[in-house]
Amino acid sequence: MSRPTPATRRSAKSEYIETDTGNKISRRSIIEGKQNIMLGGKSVVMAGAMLRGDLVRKPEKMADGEKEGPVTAIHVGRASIISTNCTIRPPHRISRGRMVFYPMRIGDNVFIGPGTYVSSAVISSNVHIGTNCVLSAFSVIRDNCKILPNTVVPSHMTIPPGSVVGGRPARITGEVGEGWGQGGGGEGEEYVEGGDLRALVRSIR
Amino acid sequence: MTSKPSPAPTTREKRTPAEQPPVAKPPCDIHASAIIAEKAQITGTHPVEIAEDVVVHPYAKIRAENGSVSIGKGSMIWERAVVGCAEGSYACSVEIGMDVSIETGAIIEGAAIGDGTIVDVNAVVERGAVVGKWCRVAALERVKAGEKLEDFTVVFGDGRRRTDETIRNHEDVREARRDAQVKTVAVMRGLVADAKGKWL
Amino acid sequence: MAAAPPYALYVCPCSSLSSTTLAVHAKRASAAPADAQADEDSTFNSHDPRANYALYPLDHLLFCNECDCIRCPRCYTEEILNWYCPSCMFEVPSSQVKNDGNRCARNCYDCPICTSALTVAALPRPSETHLNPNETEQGRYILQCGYCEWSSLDQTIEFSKPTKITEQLAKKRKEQRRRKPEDKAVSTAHGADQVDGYENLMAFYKEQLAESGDASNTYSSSPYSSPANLAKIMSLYGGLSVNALKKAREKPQPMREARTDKEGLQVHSLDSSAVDEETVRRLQAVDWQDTPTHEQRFSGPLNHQAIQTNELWPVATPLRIRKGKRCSVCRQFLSRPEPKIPNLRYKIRLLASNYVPRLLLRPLNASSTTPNPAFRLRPNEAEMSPLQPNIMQQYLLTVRNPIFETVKITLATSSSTPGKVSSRVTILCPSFTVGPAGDVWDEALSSSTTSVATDDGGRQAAMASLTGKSTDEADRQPEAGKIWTRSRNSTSIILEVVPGALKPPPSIVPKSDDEMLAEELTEDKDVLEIPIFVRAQWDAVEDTDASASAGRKHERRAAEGEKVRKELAYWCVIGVGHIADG
Repeated sequence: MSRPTPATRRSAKSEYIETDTGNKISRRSIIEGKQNIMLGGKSVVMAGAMLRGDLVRKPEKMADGEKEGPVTAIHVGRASIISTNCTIRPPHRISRGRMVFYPMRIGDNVFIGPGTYVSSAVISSNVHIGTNCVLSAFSVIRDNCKILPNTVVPSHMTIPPGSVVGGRPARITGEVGEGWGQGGGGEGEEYVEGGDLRALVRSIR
Repeated sequence: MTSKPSPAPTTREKRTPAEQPPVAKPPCDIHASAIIAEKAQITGTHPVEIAEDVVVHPYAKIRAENGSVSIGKGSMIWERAVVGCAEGSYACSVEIGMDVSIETGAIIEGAAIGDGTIVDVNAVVERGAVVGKWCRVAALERVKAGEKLEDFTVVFGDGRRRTDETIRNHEDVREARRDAQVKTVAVMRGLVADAKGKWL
Repeated sequence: MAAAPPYALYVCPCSSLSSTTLAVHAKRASAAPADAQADEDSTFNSHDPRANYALYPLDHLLFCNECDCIRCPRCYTEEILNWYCPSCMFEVPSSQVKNDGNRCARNCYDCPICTSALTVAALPRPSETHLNPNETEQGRYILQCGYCEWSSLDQTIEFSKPTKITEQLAKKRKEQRRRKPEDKAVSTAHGADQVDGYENLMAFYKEQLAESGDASNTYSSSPYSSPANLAKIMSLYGGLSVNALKKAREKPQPMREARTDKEGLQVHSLDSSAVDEETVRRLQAVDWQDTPTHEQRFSGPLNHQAIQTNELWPVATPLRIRKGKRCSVCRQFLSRPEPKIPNLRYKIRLLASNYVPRLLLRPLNASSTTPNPAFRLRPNEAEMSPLQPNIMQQYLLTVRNPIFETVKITLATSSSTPGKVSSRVTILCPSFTVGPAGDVWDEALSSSTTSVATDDGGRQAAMASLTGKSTDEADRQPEAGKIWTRSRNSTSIILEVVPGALKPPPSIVPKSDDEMLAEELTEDKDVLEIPIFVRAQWDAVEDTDASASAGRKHERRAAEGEKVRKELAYWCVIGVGHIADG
């Protein structure tokens, strides 16, 4: 894990490494604790994105720290995109007198804009998150939400489905239209906010 | 559709070359109980002092190009935070107190951060600013250059300020926050591999 | 809408800003050409201050398939389906909503300072119990804001358990009122007691009603108990009329009004100088920044009269609602979400995007295709460069057909855009047809594979979108009256735009101040927006939707090919980009 791979060997090839399930992981992304990160397939981790999979809950009774089963720290669904310079860090808080890291779950077709910091407990599916947002610890973003750029979602905030939020701290400023996520698929308009992002995933290379 | 992970690890990793310590390592005084992650970065020529139980996360940067940096006991520098400044020609030394949290991506160029203060995600403390004890600079907020924040100040909501009466008047709340910090440091001992040897 | 250009906003024909309403109605009463002419003459001005109230992104518009009309928030009615707390996601039954003041009665509270959600935090217990986690029941808990660090300790409120916060809070408030009688005079005068007073009044009158009810119901077990029965009997046996009897009965039991403070009576004293002085004295003692803002004061009834920020109480989270939307003409549901709160799914959803041809504008010779500016992947990704004034630009306008019939599209725009900055616009091919949308599966399949090619045009278009220009298109010139590309259900044409200059050429004549003021550009006036009038015509088999349910008669008619000409006409405003200054 700590051994740096020589960067020059394959850097002439494409920027992304594609896994068996179609995930694309940038060679320039920063992934700590990769054994604790699950990507559901056709998801993208772009350059400079940082995933702190190493921050996990250790089993209560740890005998020697070696023979523990894999714990999931970050679970990302299908066709979700973590764009450049994002930081994804599982949230932590005190539970029964210990500081404990909690797993984070990100759903399908979630777009996370560049420079955004995510420490949410749950982000459901079809969520569009703008650039430079801060999603504080244990925030819960329900499905079909839109988070405007530069929003600070305070810790423990729950955003109900179909909301548009913005501001510092985040407030619900509106609701997405009924057609949220619909209407994509046409030429030149292959993907829309909150819709199926597979076309966007394909276009990233 | 269940999103089953493939049996093989789904993420393969390829890192940018870990930042090698520059040729001239700054003179570091790092306490034996501090944790400096492998990929944390310490640069510059001025002295860097890191007290006991300090945690410096991977990709955090400590820059002593223009002045010394000292980090007090039990403080935590999260990933991508930058303490100190590299650019500019004038002296800029940073003194961070005890039990301070410098969150992800925060930039500290200010002269001093008081004990128990939290600088939240991507907040900026500009040059020469002095932040008092038990303050909180909320996410994306900015403390202007040369500004002085009294103890217990909260900077929030796009530049608003208020005094945190709770923490000012209640020793037990301060104790709770300190306790949380100690516990966070404790949990990091099991999670972040220490590589301070590199800097000694 | 502050969407980044290029964008397309649609004007619901119900808007009074354009006269298209007439046209839409006209199509039923066999089109009046004069009206149609009028539409095209009066251009929709997207820079009109009122235009914002008529412009909607397509995903916010609905479509009534009974009336064949676009429906916007002005022409559909909303009805509340259910109430829920946005924080704990629990649905609140409608009977309870009013009682709780449209707020969550569970444990959800918002910070009175910054509106973020408060969490229950445990305070460290005295050290002897500290190590015994079993004694969690009798701990010390506070409500705490994770953003601005406000906590209920500012109001000296501590809870003994982490649940039933509402009950505990109410108790604390009563205690505090009792503890601080010196504040009472001031707060009473300012109505801080309004809430308590209201509660007392409620309790009192409930009691009164119950009492008077009981008094009149002394015969509750007899057949005379119901007023209707009594009236019948009275009229049978003559004597007093029912009304007279009612009066007679009420007289001995007049309902008493509230009389004392305890019953909720608050006497307003005209001589309030003592109270005023007290208020002024208190106000003098606080800084401006320690006085609550309007928003903070109106955050909850308990905060209406707060003089200092440290008097603010935690605010019970206001409930949110889930709405159904009905066409205001035919009353059918246009959208009806499922009642399950944690998810957003629809039982009924008649989207305009499934009926209305969609317009999409792209630069013709763009090297990169960034169809949606919302999907910025890199921080350094170039924003759209501003448009250079007086330099002709060519754009590709794609019209996509969502319906299953071939649609004839007629586009119209005025030669120069309305607003302060007038740009010249030419549509090279204003009239064309767009092929029918295929089966949903076709679309899904074609979008899941990279080759969109159903016919040659599609492939060409795909190539064009991939490379920007293909080999034989490199020297292809846009021609008037020619379609640029055509794919299965979309057709692209060329639009030529000459952006106007933001500032008029300098003149020698000095201008008056008023003129200067008039020339000053207001917000977003530098955005080049093109209003385009879209008219879609198609031959539809009458009642295709109803035929499935209505049975054979319709089907046979459909088989006979009885077709009806349908038409949809609307304004669409296309934001092209910002015009460069100078």
